[in-house]
Amino acid sequence: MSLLEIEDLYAHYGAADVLHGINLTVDRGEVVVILGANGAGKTTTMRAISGMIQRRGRVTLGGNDISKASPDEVVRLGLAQVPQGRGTIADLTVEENLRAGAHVRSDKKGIAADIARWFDTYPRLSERRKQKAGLLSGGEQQMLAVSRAMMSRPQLLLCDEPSLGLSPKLTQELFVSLSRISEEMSMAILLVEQNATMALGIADRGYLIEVGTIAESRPATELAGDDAVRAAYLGY
Amino acid sequence: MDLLIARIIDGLNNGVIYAFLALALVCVYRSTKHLNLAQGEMAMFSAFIAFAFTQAGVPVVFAILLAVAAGAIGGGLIERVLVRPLGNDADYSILLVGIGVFLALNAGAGLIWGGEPLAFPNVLPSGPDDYFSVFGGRLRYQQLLMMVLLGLVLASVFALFKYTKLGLAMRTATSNPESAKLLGIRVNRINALGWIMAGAVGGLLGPLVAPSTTLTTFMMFSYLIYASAAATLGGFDSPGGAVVAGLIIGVLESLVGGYVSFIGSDLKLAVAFVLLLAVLMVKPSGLFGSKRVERV
Repeated sequence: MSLLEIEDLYAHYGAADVLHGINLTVDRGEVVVILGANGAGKTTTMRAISGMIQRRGRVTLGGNDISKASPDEVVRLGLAQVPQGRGTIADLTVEENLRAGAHVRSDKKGIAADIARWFDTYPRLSERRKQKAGLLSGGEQQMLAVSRAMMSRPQLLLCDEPSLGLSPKLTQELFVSLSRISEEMSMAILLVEQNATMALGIADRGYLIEVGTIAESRPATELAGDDAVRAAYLGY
Repeated sequence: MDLLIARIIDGLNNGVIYAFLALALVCVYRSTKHLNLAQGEMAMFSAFIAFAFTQAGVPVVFAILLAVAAGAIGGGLIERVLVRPLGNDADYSILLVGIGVFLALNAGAGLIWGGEPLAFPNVLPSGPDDYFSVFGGRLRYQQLLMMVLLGLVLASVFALFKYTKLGLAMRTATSNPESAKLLGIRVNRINALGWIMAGAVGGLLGPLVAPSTTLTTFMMFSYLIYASAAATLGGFDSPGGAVVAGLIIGVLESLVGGYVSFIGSDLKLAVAFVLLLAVLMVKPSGLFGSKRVERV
């Protein structure tokens, strides 16, 4: 059984159907990417999984049915999300952002150790730990978003367009760090990304999503070599 | 000199009420980002509830504690029944709910207890000789009690926001509700808690103010205006700022009203607003408010 299993997921905003039966799985420790054009339903898929919008269908996380769960229940079952636009809690300091990320935990020592760990991973956050998070640069806010999400000690991390607004160099750094997180903590990551080259570079498998439906997954290397995928998403 | 001291103490007497009510406004704002226009009426209604308990023979201190509990329950009910169903993006609707609750509580109190002013007992002795002499000025026991309680409430609110996990969750929920949900924070509960706190603070304030204003349905009208001014002046997200600003406004209006003859007692309210405008022109987020900064 996979860590995340999605069968026939439907979601809509008002009268507009956005997802028409998504099927998708993510195994433990696996990095999976969803590729697709603007408006194909990538972000909606993310929000449907984390319970931020109404949805129909079957979604299980580690064997628990989360298809009707509220966002806070989903987090408690081991899912964390880096939302599109980074979700910075601007009025809190950098350190408070991390502390807020550990809201569902109560092991004080473990939380302190994890904060130290993320400051270690991203020294630039450490330098600014007492600053309001709203003052961070885009790249720093993205590092903060990843660390904050990881503070809940999830089994699965959803990342929605983490490269948005970042320079190629910062994007590269971010993907290297995501890849390292996945390896070191055998952490599953489900990634939605416009930057297909980078995403396929660290992913094990990839799905193509088109207007609310999804094709069978294929190995990342195969997708990266496919001419049609290259033309549509990789641009060369 | 004696007159100056007397006027300062007089100003503090009113200022402590502005500060108390402003603190309640800040409590709601810090947990929900809304201005609760019904805050004064919640305090007024609590005072009537305390009055009903004293009529039933409950000692006044316990009657006030019961009013605090009733205020807390009332605040929670308002959130659950009237505010929550409107959803997250209903800023103006919630402002209107505040006006609706304002009118309902005001009319309700009039309906139940009538329009005649009622006498409400002081908690502490309040005879002609019951005061502390401060440099010749008279600080009455009841006023002193309110200042002590205000200090205690302020200290607890400050500690809650600054040092507790719950306070951090409350600040997260107001700063970025979407992110708060994704971190497992139950934002609805946080909002409810803000209203419960506001109701409780109102429940404490109403019965303490009632002896000096007499108990009427309009006892809190002008205080709410002053308190809004104090909260704005101090910075809507700063409990300490709201309290300091409330005291400043109280003292300043007393001094200006006393020394500037054409202002007298009629134009006192204008003094508060001139001060407010002057400060906001220089510092739009208020004296102690935090400026919202965000790089993108």
